[in-house]
Parts: sequence; C-alpha cells; structure tokens
Amino acid sequence: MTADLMGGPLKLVISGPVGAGKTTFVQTLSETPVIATEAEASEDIGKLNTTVAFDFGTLNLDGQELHIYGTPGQDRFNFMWDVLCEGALGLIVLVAGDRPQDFTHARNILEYITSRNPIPFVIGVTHQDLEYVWRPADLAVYFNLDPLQVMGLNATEPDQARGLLIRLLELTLADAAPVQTPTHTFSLETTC
Amino acid sequence: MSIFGHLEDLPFSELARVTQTQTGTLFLRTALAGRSVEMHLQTGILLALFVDGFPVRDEQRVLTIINQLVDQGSGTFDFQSAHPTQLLHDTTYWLNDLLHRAHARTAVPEMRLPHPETRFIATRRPGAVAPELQPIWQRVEPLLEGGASAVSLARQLQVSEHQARTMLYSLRAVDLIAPLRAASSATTPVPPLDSSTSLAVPITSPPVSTSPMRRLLGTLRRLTQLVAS
Repeated sequence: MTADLMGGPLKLVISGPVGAGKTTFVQTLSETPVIATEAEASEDIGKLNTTVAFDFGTLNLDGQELHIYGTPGQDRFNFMWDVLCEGALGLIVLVAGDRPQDFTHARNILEYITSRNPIPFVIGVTHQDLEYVWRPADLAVYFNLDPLQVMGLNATEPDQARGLLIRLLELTLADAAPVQTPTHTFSLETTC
Repeated sequence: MSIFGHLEDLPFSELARVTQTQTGTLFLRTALAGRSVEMHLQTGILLALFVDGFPVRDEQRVLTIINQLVDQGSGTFDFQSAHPTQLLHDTTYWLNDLLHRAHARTAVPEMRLPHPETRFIATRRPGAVAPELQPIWQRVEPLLEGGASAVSLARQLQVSEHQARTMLYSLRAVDLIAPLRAASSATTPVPPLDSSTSLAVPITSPPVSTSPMRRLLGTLRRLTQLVAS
C-alpha cells in the first residue's frame, strides 16, 4: 500500500477490459474535464474508439487532491499498467456484468497487476441497471475474493462511483490499522 | 438472471466453482455436441443430472459427462436459483470431487491462459492430486515457493512459455495454485521478478501514511448518500 507522504496528490488507477466503463467512471468522478487519449480502434473491439494511453481526471476534496488515471483495456498497452500503478493509493478494476466473455480478461488484468504491485484493490461490476447482469457476489466467487472487495455499480452515477472509492479506502485503512476496523461498511441505496 | 453466458467464454470447471455456493438448476443448452444438460445443485452437491431430459445416475456415466463438459463443453448456460425442496434428489455427488477427477485434454484457448508474468503460489490445500496432474505437479510444485510465473517456469523447466501457461492453468483449475498478491507477500522475501520484465516494480510497500486517505474518506462519505449495512 502506498500513499503520498508529502501531502501532495493521491493517485487512483482504474483498469479493466475494453468496454467495462473505465472512461465513463473517470468522467463521473472527475471535477475537471477528463483528458482522454481516445483513438479509432484498429481492430474489432465492439466500439469505434478506445483509450490508447490513459484517461486523466482530478478530484479535490477539502484540499486533498486525487488524480484519477484510467488505463487502456487492451493487453498490448499493459506496460502502462505498471507505470500508472507505481505509488498509487489503490486500484479499481471494472468489469461489465453483462459481458461474461470479458471476465477472464478482467481476472488476468487484476492478477497481472497485483502479483507485481503491492497495491490495494477492489472490483467494480458495472451495468447493474440491466436485467441480465452478473451480481457482485457471484463475481467475487469467480475472482476468488472476499465479497467486500467486489461491488456493483452504474459508472454513470456519481454516488455509486464515489461509493466504490469509499469501499477501497475503507478496506485499505482497515488493513493498515486492524484495531480500528469499522464496525460496518457502507452500502448505497441501490439494488447493486 | 445473474449467472449466464457461453461455455466458450466461461469454461465448465469455472462455472461449477461459481455455482458451488448456490442452490438451483444449471441449464447447459447444446452443451454436449448439441445435447442439453440440466443439473440440480445444492451448494456444491449434484442432486440430479439430465441429458436431453433423461436422468443419468450411474457414477461412471456422470463422470463421463462431467469430463465431456470440462473438455468440450459449448453453448449457452444459465443458472436459476431454487429452494432445495423444488429440486429432484436422484444422486449425491460432490461436484468438486467430480471435477478433480476430470481433466481437460483438448488445447486450452489462449485467452483463458494466465498472463505469462503473473506469479502463482501453491495453495497448500490438503488433498490428493489427480493422477493426470501428478506429473505436472511434481515438476512445478518445488518451483512455486515465493511465486513462479509462466516465464520463469518455462526457463527452469525448459518448456515453451505456452506450455508453462497451460500447466499453470491446469493446476489453478483444481485450486492447487493461486495468484500471488504482491501486497500480501511484501512482508516476506520475494525473489526478483523475471529478468525479462524491464520495468521497475515495487515489491515492498513504502511507509504508509493514512492521514490523507482518512481525510479523503471522510469527505467522500459526507458527499455520498450512505446507509449502514
């Protein structure tokens, strides 16, 4: 686990397969216009444009600045994952709950990053507004993770995007100071 | 519906693991060369098995079908939760035991294989290793202490990287290994990453300062509509 010791900006990394909602999530959290590096997709990835370097947004809360980086979803940009994760306070891996064809890729991304970087993480299962969608508890079993580390959300909803970040911080702080483990974790007033 | 997909995307061995906490019926449509399979499951126990609507009870036939699903399963699947009283009770087989006795013989698609640089460790779970996996396990297990990736295994075992990834896939499918988390290994010595990985990657966490995170958390909580769970 890392954190900036000088009171400077904290860094949050958002990763996941193509189409998981990473750019949307960064746009939802960011207070400033997101700097996106989208380009026309050179292969069939299910959409016309995709992130090729990273998305960048910022959030300033009571003077504490948070820099939010969204990684590219394609494996050939995986050198970016290590670069972006260095010194980050945490990692959020997003996966679309209605696209089981992407689960293996999402797990591979998570395991690649976390086996190389000592970084706290949570999983966000997006598209929870759909009728046919995997639920976070089932994906927790698939990822072989504690259910608290996997949370459902709609990436367009600010409260839900912030909720996922809160969960990451709660788990990270609980891990850092077990004696101060909160007696409850938050949940949102949604069906997620 | 919350558990659905294609066996081409989520292989049967992984699907079975997800359903082990559930009670209900797993429908596998056109899973066996066009034939449909229906499984009644109660938290990991196979209570009844039907192929094209016909019950299958004989242990050897059940095992053959599980083998075929692991090896060649295709088509769509979905799981429908049910109360145990709504399920048929024809048999009592632990699905996990059946899976341990099954073993994929066909080539594993590239997309299912772990990343070459993801490191794995032994789970140290007790239990017998299936005879089909013994040769792989005996070669790989001594190299897993501290974590081993397909890249390092390929070098040490003098096999191709693809072969090493396939070995790791097979061992992981039966929970003999699990991915190493650098965060959890930060307090114990970890061997250096493969020389082929050129990026400097922190393995030991630097000192933690939690106060900026606490400040951030407090502000986020105030901003967000919360209910205690």
